[in-house]
Amino acid sequence: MDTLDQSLLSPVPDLGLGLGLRNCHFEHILTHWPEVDWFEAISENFMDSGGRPGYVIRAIAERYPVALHGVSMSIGSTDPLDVDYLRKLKRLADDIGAIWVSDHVCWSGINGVYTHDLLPLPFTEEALNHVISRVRQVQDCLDRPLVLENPSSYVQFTQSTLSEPEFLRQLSDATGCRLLLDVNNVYVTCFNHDLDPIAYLQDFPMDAVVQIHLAGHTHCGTHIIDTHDQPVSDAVWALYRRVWQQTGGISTLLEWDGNIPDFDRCLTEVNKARRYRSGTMEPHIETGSANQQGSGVPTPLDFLIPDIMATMDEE
Amino acid sequence: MDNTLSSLQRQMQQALISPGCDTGKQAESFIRPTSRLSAEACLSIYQRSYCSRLQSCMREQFPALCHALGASVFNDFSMDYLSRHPSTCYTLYELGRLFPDYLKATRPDSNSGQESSEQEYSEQEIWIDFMVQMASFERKMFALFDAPGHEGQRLATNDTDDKHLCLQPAVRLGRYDFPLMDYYLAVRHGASPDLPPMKITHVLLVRKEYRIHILTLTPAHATFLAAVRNGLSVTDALAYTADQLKIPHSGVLQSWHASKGVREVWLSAGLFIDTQQ
Repeated sequence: MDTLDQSLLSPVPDLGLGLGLRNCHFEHILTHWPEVDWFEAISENFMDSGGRPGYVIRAIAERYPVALHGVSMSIGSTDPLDVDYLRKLKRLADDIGAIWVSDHVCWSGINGVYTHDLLPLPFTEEALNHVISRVRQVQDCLDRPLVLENPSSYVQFTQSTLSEPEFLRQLSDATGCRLLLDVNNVYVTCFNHDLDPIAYLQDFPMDAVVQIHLAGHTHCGTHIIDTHDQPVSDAVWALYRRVWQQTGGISTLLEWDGNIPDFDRCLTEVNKARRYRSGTMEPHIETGSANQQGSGVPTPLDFLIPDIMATMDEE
Repeated sequence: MDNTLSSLQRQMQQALISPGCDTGKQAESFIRPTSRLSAEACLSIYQRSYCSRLQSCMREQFPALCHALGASVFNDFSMDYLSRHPSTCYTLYELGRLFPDYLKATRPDSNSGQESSEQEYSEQEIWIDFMVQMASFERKMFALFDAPGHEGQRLATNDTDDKHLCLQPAVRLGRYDFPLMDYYLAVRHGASPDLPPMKITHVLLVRKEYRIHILTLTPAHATFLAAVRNGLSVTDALAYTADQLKIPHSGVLQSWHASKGVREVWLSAGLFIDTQQ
């Protein structure tokens, strides 16, 4: 399928303000059914679940819109696509009525290895054509448009000939895939590569964007790490406000993956978005000073691991 | 230089999973430096990240073993394990699957070739046995959390006839040379237990309504449950247990059927489903 069924490309609603679904919040959500517009669940945590995660996501999907967000599709890898993975992903998406399925413009490993990282691609014609071909295969398999996110990056490849926004524009144009604009990642990547985030956003194909991510980062002075372990920085709020003005409103979601506070604290953080975009709250732009309060670990993974010791029952 | 996508991915992955290789030093051939960092320093962010993220996941999957070894030694074991067995699955839940086997295969007392006193050798061997068995126990616990269970099927009750009792899927049995459960629970409660003396223990893990319960078993309990798991009916397994342990069959039946006896306790714990649904 070179082009998607156009009926699949109908306008996507603004779902409002959502939160990333995390293991440590399961009990709170199932007990209090808090007022949050929507959730985003990490696909790989639920695809094979025969236990509580599978139960929880189905219960939550009955009451809230849920999007699936993957970290292991490895759309840019030169390994063959994992058809078994895609089949399970489709089954889960169909089962819970996922509003969309997203992943990252990255690769995770080759030769059968998973590094469990979101590794950057060179922005070349070869990589673009490779990813275009694979996005088409994935969309065929999932029978829906794929949504792809700009990852944070810490290296730029010498052979890149395109900018990231241009790469994403051509990818979206060629495949009909939608985009997830991670505003924090824009800030992180642009700082790390001496790029202007305003220019980046001006070049970004906003008409393909269906979702925005917000998250916190750790400023290490010489570079910024996408740690997801603290509140959203003022600089990122300022970019978010600009994106909001540029687009007129897109589903927005907060990711908090390290040192995860209680649910209400996360909700308070994402709800700040209303005040920033309306102008009732003004961000104070940082001057690039180091802020090493976080873990310094890019996008921590341990939040994906259930705390068995804490949840078991004793004899 | 080969500038293809596959070549670049090969170089970068090599730099991550084999950090001692030359690729890091060759970083400037394929990575642009920034105004603040060299190409090698940029690449090293991914190298450090690979180690610290996966070490953290391993610590989460083996918390009691990590406590026993200390985080630093545990991290070293984890990285050596991952260098020999890089992740080959999209889910992190499988990251520690081979860790118990790795510890068993690489135990230093298996073929050290070094002379040591009998007492030194014995103490070392016991400590390593404990590590291997704790890793196995924690892996079993972790896998059980998300394994298929009884949910969707009817659990047996006191009214269920013995001939309709069937072990539910989320039951695991283990025999260990140490009281691992005591150690695990002590760590859970924030204590710093010493290496326990050897003591053969039989442990049952069962997940009921998505929560894992740990039960200690007598040798007779373990024999009976193993027999049921291997396909014997409850009636035959009771007879088999009496025969194996050379205890009176009447005593086994009494223990099974007594008020607050084994049957009642295990039904309450959710060990059996009712096959007559």
